[in-house]
Amino acid sequence: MTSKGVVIVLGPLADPVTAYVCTRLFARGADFMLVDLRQDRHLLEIRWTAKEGCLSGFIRNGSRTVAIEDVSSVFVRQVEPYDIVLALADCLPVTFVNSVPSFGSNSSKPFQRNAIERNGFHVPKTLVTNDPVEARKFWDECGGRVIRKSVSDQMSIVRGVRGEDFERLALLRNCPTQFQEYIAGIEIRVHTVGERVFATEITSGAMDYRYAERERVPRRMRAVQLPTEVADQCRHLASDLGLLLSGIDLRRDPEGSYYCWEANPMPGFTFFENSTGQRMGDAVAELLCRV
Amino acid sequence: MVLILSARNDACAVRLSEELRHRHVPVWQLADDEVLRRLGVGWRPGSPSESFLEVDSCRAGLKDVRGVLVRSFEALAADPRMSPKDQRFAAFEMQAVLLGMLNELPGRVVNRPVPGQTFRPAFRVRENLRHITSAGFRIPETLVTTSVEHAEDTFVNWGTTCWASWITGEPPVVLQPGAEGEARLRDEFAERTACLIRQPDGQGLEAVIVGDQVNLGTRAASWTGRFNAGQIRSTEVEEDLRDCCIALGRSLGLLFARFSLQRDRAGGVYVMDIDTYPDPSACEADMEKAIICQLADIVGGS
Repeated sequence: MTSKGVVIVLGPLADPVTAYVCTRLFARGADFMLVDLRQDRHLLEIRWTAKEGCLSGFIRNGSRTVAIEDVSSVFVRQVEPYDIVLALADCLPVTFVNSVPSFGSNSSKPFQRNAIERNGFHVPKTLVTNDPVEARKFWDECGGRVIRKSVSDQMSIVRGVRGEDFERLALLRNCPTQFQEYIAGIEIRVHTVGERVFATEITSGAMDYRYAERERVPRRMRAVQLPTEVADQCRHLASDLGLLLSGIDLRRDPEGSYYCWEANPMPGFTFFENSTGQRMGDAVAELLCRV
Repeated sequence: MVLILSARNDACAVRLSEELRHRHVPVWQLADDEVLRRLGVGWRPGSPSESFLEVDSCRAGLKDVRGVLVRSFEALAADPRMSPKDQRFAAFEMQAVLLGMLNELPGRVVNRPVPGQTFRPAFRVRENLRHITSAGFRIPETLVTTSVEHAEDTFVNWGTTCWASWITGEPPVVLQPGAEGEARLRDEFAERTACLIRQPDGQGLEAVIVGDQVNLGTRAASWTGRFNAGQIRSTEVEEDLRDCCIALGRSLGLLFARFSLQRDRAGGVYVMDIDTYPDPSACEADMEKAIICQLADIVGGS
């Protein structure tokens, strides 16, 4: 059933995902209001009152005013924490893609690990340390097949740890790092949109496929069908983390086991849709317009 | 071993540390600006028995950490040899380590940090509002607005004492009706958006919960929003109110918190604010001592 309410899109139009969601909402004929806080901050007025459990108020952006009770769903992307629009968003009893508290789990990848294991995925052997001796011991334990990556959601490039890196290992004292056993296999990025699951298989010679061009190695992406059990695990993981939209990083090892690295609460799905034609933008728009 | 993470010179951390040492419980006390420098970590997620913490070359297994008091889980970078960008990155990384590890630690953690939330909970979040009403409390009338003029009109129209409370969870500011309160409101709202909370007429109460212990005090009518030492006066807590406080603490997952309450003339109790990093020194001496002892019982084992 389609909502007759207004969809609020909170995000910068310069962001390809925000812009794409707007176009898909437009294509559906949905009534939506884009609030681009980078461009329109001075045009924005928000006010609401909460009394005895009832909310009333409005959000005004330039010449358009939407009553709070008419908002049916909210799409949130790249909004600064503690912004007033997030405070409003947090109070509304409507659909959020995604809700503000759910963003947080990805701020610590090891924190997400419990949910990942709980939902039946394999997780690689992991060490988080700022101790060079421990890092070396872990590398030996894993037979030198180790990758390193950030612990937080700060952007970092996944790299393999090689013998020559140990010359710089003393620098580890400055910043804890996550080391993981390297798992050979095929990279699969799964986007969940509500109950829908879109899986993309990525073949690349790069350790981090996002940076394949930089390493001048080819990257191929194709839509694939996940086994039902794995697709369900992805749905359950997203639901466990409170995410209606997620980007889940999996790897299928040669024995067919599925390892999960993390679930991204703000995935840049247009990167994958551009290559595969999977209609994730339409699925997001449909989710936002559903009652 | 008990680990205390706090801002430098945090009074609660210092008092708890003294109490634990008095009980011969070993303590590591780390300020947020020394965590990156002094705290060593060897953490294998999912395997506490293979993991350790190290402070000043002294190592303890993760399973041997009996308890943790978290007054701040920020890790402030303070190494001038690193670029500001690298310092920021290192701080985020250590914060992510603490967030994950403190949630996995088998010992008691007061309070376990919540992802995406470094300050006090914005208690107006829908989920938390539900917890407040389910625990038997009421929610005061609240206005959130980006318009200073609208905030001022509402304040004048309400004509009662109001609290200005921040989305970031900083301590509230009390606004008394009249020209002085209006000027204060203009100053406070001009910089950033705040919630304006209408204080019901009645009695101000402060409940400091430590596990299932409820320490109740009265808040002076002259209170301006920031407590001075000893300003919260101890008072007897009725059974019903105790149960409500315990229920709220449990549903919010808090072992240590201060609930600012307001009881109206009809006996309804409103939650005006929730502080998850309460300062016990705001309470009179006996109450403060009781709170510190209760905290020591929790993190150090009674």
